This record gives sequence, C-alpha cells and structure tokens, in this order.
Amino acid sequence: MTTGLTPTEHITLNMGPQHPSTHGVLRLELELEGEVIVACRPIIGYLHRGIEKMAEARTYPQVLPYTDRLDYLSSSSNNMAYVQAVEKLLGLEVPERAKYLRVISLELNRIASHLVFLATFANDLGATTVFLYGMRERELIMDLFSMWAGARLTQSWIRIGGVGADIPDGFVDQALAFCRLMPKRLDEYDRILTGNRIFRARTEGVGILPPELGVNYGASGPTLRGSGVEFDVRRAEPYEVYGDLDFEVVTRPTCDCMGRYLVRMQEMRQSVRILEQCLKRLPEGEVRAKVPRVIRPPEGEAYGRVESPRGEFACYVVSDGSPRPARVRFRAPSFYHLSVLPRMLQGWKVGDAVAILGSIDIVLGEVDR
Amino acid sequence: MTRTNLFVDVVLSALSIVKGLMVTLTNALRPRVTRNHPFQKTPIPEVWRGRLVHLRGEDGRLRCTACLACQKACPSHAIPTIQGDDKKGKEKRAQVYVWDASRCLFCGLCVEACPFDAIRLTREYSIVGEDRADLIFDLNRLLGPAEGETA
Repeated sequence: MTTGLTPTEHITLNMGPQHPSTHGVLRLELELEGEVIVACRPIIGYLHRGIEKMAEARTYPQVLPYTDRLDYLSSSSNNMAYVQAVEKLLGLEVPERAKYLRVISLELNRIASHLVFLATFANDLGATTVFLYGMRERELIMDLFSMWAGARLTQSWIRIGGVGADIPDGFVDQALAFCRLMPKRLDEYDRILTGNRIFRARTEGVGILPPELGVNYGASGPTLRGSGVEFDVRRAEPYEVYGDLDFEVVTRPTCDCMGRYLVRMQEMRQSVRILEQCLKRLPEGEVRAKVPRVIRPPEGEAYGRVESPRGEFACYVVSDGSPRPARVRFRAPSFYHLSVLPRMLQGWKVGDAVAILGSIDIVLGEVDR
Repeated sequence: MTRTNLFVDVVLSALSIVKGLMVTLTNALRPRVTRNHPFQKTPIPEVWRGRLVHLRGEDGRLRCTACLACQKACPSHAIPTIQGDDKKGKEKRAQVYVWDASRCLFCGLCVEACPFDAIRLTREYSIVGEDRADLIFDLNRLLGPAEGETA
C-alpha cells in the first residue's frame, strides 16, 4: 500500500542576474525543497571590469576616478580608502580643513547610501511609498554633491593631498538645513515602516546571522553590528578627524533583518550628528597639501581602511617606486557578506530570500570590481 | 495564540497601518518635488562636469597650445589626438584636438592638468548622438564661447 506521498525532488531556481531585488547583476542558484531553500550558490562576476588590473597601468591620480565605480552608492569611501593608502606611502600630511571636508563628504555619502538601502529594502518587501520618500531625501544630498564636486555619484572629490576644491558659498547653510530636516524625515520613516505589522512580520527573526559566524566570515559594518558586535573602523582605528568627534557605534543584539535595518536607521541619525559637529567646527585654511605633479611614492606597501556604509572597505597599494602602482587590491565588504549569505538563507523560504539579501545591502560594483 | 491576544494583535496591526497612512497623507499635501523633465529644466550648478569645451583668449585665438598635458593626465585615453601648428613655445596653437565622449569619465583631471586654462567641463550634461562617430568631437565642435560670454 502506498501512502500517496512521493519523495520531494530538489529543484534549482535561478534568482537573477536580471532580478530587481538582487541589486545589480548577481545570480543566486537556489536549491529548493518545495519552497524551502536547502542550498544557495551566489554566482558573481557579471560586473567584472578588472579595475585592480587597470590600476596597474595608470598613474596614482589616474586610478582615483576608477575607485568611484566600485561601490557606486558611496564613491567617497572608496576614494578615501585609496587616498589613505597612497598618503601613507607618501607620508603626506593633509590640511585640517580638508580632513573635516572629507568627513562631511563621507557622512553625507553614508546617509545617501543608507537611504538607498531603506528605499530598496522597503520596495522589495512591498512598501513602494517608502522607496519614493527615500529617493526624495537622497536627492537633497545629490544636490549638495553636485554643487560641490560637479557630479552626483562619481565624485572623485577626495584627492591625494586633500579634496578637489573648497566648498562653494552657501554649502554650509544648505547642509545644516538638511541636518535639521533629516531627523524629522527619519521619524516619518519609522512611523510608516518600522512599526508596520507586515514589515515586522517579514523581518523580525528572519535571516539570523550569529555573531561568531559573522566574525568568522569577515562580515563588517551594519551587517555585523546588527548581530551585536561593536566593530566600527571609525572607532577602532580612527582616520581623519573621527577621533575628535562625538558619535555612538550603534548595535542591535537581535541578529535578524530587523536588527540590521534598525542599525542603519540609527546610523543615519548618528551621521547627522557627525555632520552637524563638522559643519560647525569647520576650520579655515587650505584644502589641499602640496603634491608633486608626478607622484612617485617610495618603494613599499600601505593599507588604507575606512568604514564604508556597507562595512570595512580597504585598499592595499604596493609601490615599486615608479609613477604607477605595482598592485592595487580592494577589500570589498559586500563580497564577505555575500559569502555568508548561503548560511543565512538555509532553511528559509524563497520569499524570505529577498528580505535577507536586501538586509545585507550589497553592491555588485565592489564585489566584481 | 489565545483569542484575546489575537484581538490585540489585530487592533495594533490596524493602528500601525493607520499611523503609516497619516504619513502618506501629510506627504500628499506637501508641495511637489519632481520636475516635468524635459519641459522644465533642472538648474545645474556652475561646477558641473559635463561636455568639454575649448576656450579662446582675449585675442580670439585658442588658448590651447597643444602641450599634451591633458592627454597625459587622462586616465581613459579620451583625448586620443592633439596636434599643434609648427610655431614654437607660447605662440603654438592646437590645430587638431579630438575628444572622445564615449570614453570620457568626466573626472576633470584634464582641466586640472591644463597650465593655460584652455579647457573646461561645462554644464551641458546631455551628450547624445545617433552613432558612435557623433560622440567623437573635433576642434570645431569643441569651441566654446569667446571670453566674457557665459557657457
């Protein structure tokens, strides 16, 4: 006598590379048992441009515009990591005003990037309204960037020795107005999204990343802080003026999608706090140190690390004494988050895959390089 | 879940949705932030890194002396050809200058490298063509306004 039940067969489902919630060109090969994910293989490389190799054929200043195109949602943190490494090689001291301007640029970019996260994460989970609000506020930051750097995303404005140019008149007022507006808008997002029952049901307790697993896989940034690990490069190894600034490292102990989401929401408030301090303390003076026309760092190697909106973004530069770097290597936080993703997806349903993938906030530009 | 708990949950869920709808309502009453592109133009800042132009000096001649500084500074070979006339030194002027917009990263390193302030990136952001050749600009198409005029 048969029970009428046949053993279930595993089926393979391709999520991506043209899937709107994979945030770029990522393919996830999901192995399903019914609706439950039993295995996941992330397939990357669709956006590979060979930027690390291209850097070897270009002079030190020429590499900079290419770093914009790694994590395209926060180009200034990429610029910062590269510039930090080159400045270590050169032993260059940056003017105080430039350091403050760099932090302003980095924190504005952090808010812009987290707003894209908020917008797309909400959109993936069905809250399209929040997508529009997030993009609306981000546009205010884009306006600030375009009046300062002349570009919205690919700024290349953190340069070797300082920043590209001083801020224009009215920038400080406009930025301060943004700082006043932003907390109110964040309260609005909280009211429409954070408390929403459907949103909570889809994120609370979903996609657990145990802290040990995160650390072992090299996760960093809000993804790790959402699991209660207090690690932030801005605090652990302060660069520029972060050591003098007053801000909190936000953590959440819940290890789930909601925890990672809340960390980012709180981080935006902290970024506003940092911005206000910087804009008020901004010293007068030069914005760019004297840099030789042809940059020829002495033989050696240097490692620059920054806290990008996604985690620890780092750049390793080897110099052989010529005007071109011998090797440039980027440590992209999204790559490590993508490695731990299969462990986080196991046992969850296909519908949760979108939420879990969205909550680690990857950018394929820096994964594939 | 007991019946009372379920009831509380339903009420709280409904309240969270009402709270969200209040946000939607306040935003619906706010002034519009979008523009009706292309009929309504967005103001572009002066420092915008758009299409490359060549500038002329007060004497109406090109400022570019074909010194190749921009070509050397360019990370993506967007300025493949520059040729000057056979005069020497500061008298020399560019005869041929090609800018390939399809290769350009719009980083502005060429403008920074120029010792004569001869080139500039303008606010013109819409660079379109019907084929690839339309995106390769020769000197005639790169001539900016004479000194004193605005771009």
